[in-house]
Amino acid sequence: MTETDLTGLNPITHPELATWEWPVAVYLFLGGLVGGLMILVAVLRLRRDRTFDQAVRIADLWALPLLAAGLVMLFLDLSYKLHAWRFFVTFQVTSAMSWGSWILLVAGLVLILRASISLPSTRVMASGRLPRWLRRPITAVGGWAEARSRTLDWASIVVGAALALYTGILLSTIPARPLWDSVVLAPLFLVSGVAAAGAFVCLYISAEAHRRLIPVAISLCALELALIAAFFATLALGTKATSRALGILGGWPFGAPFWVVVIAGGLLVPLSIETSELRRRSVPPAVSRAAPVLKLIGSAGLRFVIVLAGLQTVM
Amino acid sequence: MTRYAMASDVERCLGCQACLVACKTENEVPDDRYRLRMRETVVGRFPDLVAETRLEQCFHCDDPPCVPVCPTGATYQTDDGLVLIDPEKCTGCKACVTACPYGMRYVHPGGWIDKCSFCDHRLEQGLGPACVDTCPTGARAFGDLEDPSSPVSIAIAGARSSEVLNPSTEAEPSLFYLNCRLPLTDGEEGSVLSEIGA
Repeated sequence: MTETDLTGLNPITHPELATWEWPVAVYLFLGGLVGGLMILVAVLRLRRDRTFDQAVRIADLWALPLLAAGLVMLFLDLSYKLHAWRFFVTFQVTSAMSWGSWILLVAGLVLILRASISLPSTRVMASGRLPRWLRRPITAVGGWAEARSRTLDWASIVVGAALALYTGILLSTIPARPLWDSVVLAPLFLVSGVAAAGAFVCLYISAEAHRRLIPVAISLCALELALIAAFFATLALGTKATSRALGILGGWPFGAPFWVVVIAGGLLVPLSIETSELRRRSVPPAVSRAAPVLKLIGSAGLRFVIVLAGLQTVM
Repeated sequence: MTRYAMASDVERCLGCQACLVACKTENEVPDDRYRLRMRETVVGRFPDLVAETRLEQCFHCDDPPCVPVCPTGATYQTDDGLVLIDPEKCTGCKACVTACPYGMRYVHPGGWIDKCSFCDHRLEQGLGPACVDTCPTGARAFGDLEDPSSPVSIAIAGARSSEVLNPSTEAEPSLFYLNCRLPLTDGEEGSVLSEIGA
């Protein structure tokens, strides 16, 4: 018989009071999604294919508010909100979070420039509802950015990849949480972010553009499944702590959401729907539209499970 | 070079909690928050029981995992091995709380992160940490690990055994447990956090 009494407990020692909470998971999802949008749309633009014009415009206009929403989530999780500005008066080379703060700032700048190109073609601008003092700078910045569109596209790919990779690196550089102790986490979050971005634009684009994106979507799904398998392998073959940590994905409360929402709902079901579409089998439009929604839910679920389950694993 | 360290003689500790009270008073630790954690373990079947009391706090690790993750430099390590927090620089992002393998940091109600500082303000005045100076049985020793004549070096040299908690973290804690009869938990058995279900 072993009996242990503890006196002097802080919230950290209670599992229900994790150090990071749900806003961090949402922030990592939105960071990955925005990074993915920046990469995907820049690649589509560089291909100069007019089929995806609508997807490009949607991504240009949505990415900035999504990034801002992610920052709000990060801000919500800070316990010393008055000191949030401290992130931007220093650079700590060993801290993934410090890198992330600056990457977010650069990403925001790139997205503002991209949005200024797409904004003048929107109905809001065309209708003249925006005041003149706002319209003039947007048009001027948009014109400046459009002249450097190609450079901006390459910058979007680099910064988008850095942003999506950082969301995984942030976790994997914390060895105290063995579930995150895998080099695969960063590429997994990158691929998941690009896949989520593809799903996001598929919610808005024409059926023809959607059909042309299906091979890319299937490849990303398959790659994500392979990376999840690699993630499991690195942990299983790692230290005793990492192999023990994997057990948390086998039971309640994290196992069921992981296997049902992330793997089955977020990857396998959309994969089978899109494979049927690719083989030109008859797929009801509602089912076809469900695939991207499921992918987005699965992508968010992946962050929730990895963040919250990881916090419960200790060395 | 000085390397501050602490030793806790488990055999001498009565579990009176005077150190907890001294720490809370000295450092004005807020209600429901603690810099020290007392752990009492009883093993065996009555009447063959072994009981041990152990104090856990920030271990001021030689290779602290909490320092490199801090995005603002608020958590830092001094030349003499103390791991400290500058509340003025802290954003409360909790990266260090997440990175501590021993769960020794907490969010101060003021928003910043707090933990044991080995009473650095007392060290500047030539005093020892409050928990050491208040211990009625002298179970705690503090000093420079590099100096063989310091109380901590003498205590470690005279002990039957000297161990650190969960060495598999590779953080090299600077708090040594002396004369333990019960095995310290490690990565194999799970740390205190995993034992209570965290």
